[in-house]
Amino acid sequence: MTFEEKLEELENKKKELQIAFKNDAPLKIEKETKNGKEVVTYTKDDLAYFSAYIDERKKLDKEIDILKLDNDYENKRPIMYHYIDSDGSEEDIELEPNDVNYTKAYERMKRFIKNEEQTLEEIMNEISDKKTEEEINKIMKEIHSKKDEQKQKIVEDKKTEKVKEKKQEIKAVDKPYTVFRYGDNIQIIGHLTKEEVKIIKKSRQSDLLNRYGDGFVTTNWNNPDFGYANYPGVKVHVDSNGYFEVNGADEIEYHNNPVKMTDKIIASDDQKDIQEKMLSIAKKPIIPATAKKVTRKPRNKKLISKLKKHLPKIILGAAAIAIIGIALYHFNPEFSEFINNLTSGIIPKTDTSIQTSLNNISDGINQITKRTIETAKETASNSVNNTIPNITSNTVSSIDWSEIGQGDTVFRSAYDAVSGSGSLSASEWFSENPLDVFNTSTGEFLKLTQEQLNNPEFLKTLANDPNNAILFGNSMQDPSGFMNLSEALSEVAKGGMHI
Amino acid sequence: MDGLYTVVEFSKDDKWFVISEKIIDGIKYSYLIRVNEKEDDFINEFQIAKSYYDGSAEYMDIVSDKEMIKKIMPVLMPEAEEYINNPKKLKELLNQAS
Repeated sequence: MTFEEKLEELENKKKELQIAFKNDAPLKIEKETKNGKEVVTYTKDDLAYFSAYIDERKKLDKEIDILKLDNDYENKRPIMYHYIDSDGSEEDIELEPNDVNYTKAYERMKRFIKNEEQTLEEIMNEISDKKTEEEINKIMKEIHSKKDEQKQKIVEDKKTEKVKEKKQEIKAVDKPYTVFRYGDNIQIIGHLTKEEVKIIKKSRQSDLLNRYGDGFVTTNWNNPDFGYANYPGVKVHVDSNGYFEVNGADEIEYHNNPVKMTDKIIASDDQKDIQEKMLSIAKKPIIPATAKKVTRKPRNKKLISKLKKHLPKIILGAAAIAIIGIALYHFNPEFSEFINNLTSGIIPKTDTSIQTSLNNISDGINQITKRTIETAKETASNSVNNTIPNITSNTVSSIDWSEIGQGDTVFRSAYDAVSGSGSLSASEWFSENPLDVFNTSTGEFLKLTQEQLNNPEFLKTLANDPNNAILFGNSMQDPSGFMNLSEALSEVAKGGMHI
Repeated sequence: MDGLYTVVEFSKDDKWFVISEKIIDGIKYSYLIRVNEKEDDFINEFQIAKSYYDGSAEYMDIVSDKEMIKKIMPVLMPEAEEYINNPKKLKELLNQAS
């Protein structure tokens, strides 16, 4: 794409966005996720509608400015350079390409655009009244001209920075504090004086403040103890050392806080805490293929009355799962037996033998689980390596698996698939891509290649063993479910394929 | 706590009772014990499930990641934490349970 084409594309994108926003229409914004590019839609009822608009507008403005700057540089047009003399006097010069600082000026300008310091408080107020497109453009022009003024005040030369620092003697705040963002509101939390808050804002140590500008900072919260930070769902906890933990914000930045935040989980009993998070996610369902729809039934008096008596076993189950670290369902019928044996007294009650039996059983389960997980991982990485060569070689897929899908009877584990119990109906997210075959008598995956999984003759032989179940899914880490192999093959045969 | 002590039904023969329910980071986790089809007795199978919502529909996914289980279980069942850390106590509980 040429510069003109790219510029036009960006400016059109910006225009479309402005028009959509003006008309309260849904905003379609492209975001980078771990799965690649995704279009996220915000409707005017979403809490994030405004902040999404502003973020995207800022992003587009930056892209346009950088594009223009790069083009200026490539075509050797003059670039603005802010120069500070050793006596502190400041000057703005437009540098020609033959000047020794020309490249430096270009790099500096680029850095400035990427780390915009301007406040958008004004634009937010204006936008909230939903001005016309012309008025919005006028506002944006004003912001840009302010940018020009600010551009003239950039100080990034090391020498000059030192001079300035010496002159103003700004110290960094070394007390623990946290800066967080909730929607488009920024808060600073800490045991800070007014002066210290000023220093934090001025010193630009906070990346969040640099990106959003201190126009957004609403309050300095000085509560010494656990509490809520003015926004529903954002909880703050202060420990005995005075260190802060913040949970529930969109972005959190800890300063001078040595406590590892990721380890401690702050839980809530409050149902409405769910809704805050749900509303801030765009309306596209991101439900994994393994999740099953459930029906909630009302509280059950009979079961509740039995609960107290059953509590030791419930706690035992909880401890066992946490110690061994497995979910009950996957590939471990031994675990059910384990619990049953323990709780029905099959394990002898002498001191040392209980512990030994417990160790033996959990070791055994660990081995099986470990083997299964290692095999699954290995198979997953093998199938990644095998798939690409298979596609380019002479292998032709002979089985059309698309007959299998929504509505079919599938199972959450190979053991269920083989016994026929615990059947489920495949949801719309079920992926009919075959991953491997698991044999419930050996308790292992067969580690089949892509070729074998698509070979009807080969699979027919395997299907003679009723203990073989086929696993479908996007990958071993994102499985959809199992079917008994011979049933899966007859399902596919219905599609007219000759097996 | 809306879901506490309710029965969650995946299918007719796949029903679970909610022993504990916590919201962590805006997401609901439940500790479940299996129940029989008549919903009048417990079956000794246990798991942790994570809830997803699509409008009013609820979907549950079983938490199978080892590290997640170890992190979340003490939050859901604080009573289990002392047994997780103390094999002797677990032994006592075994005696009590049988």
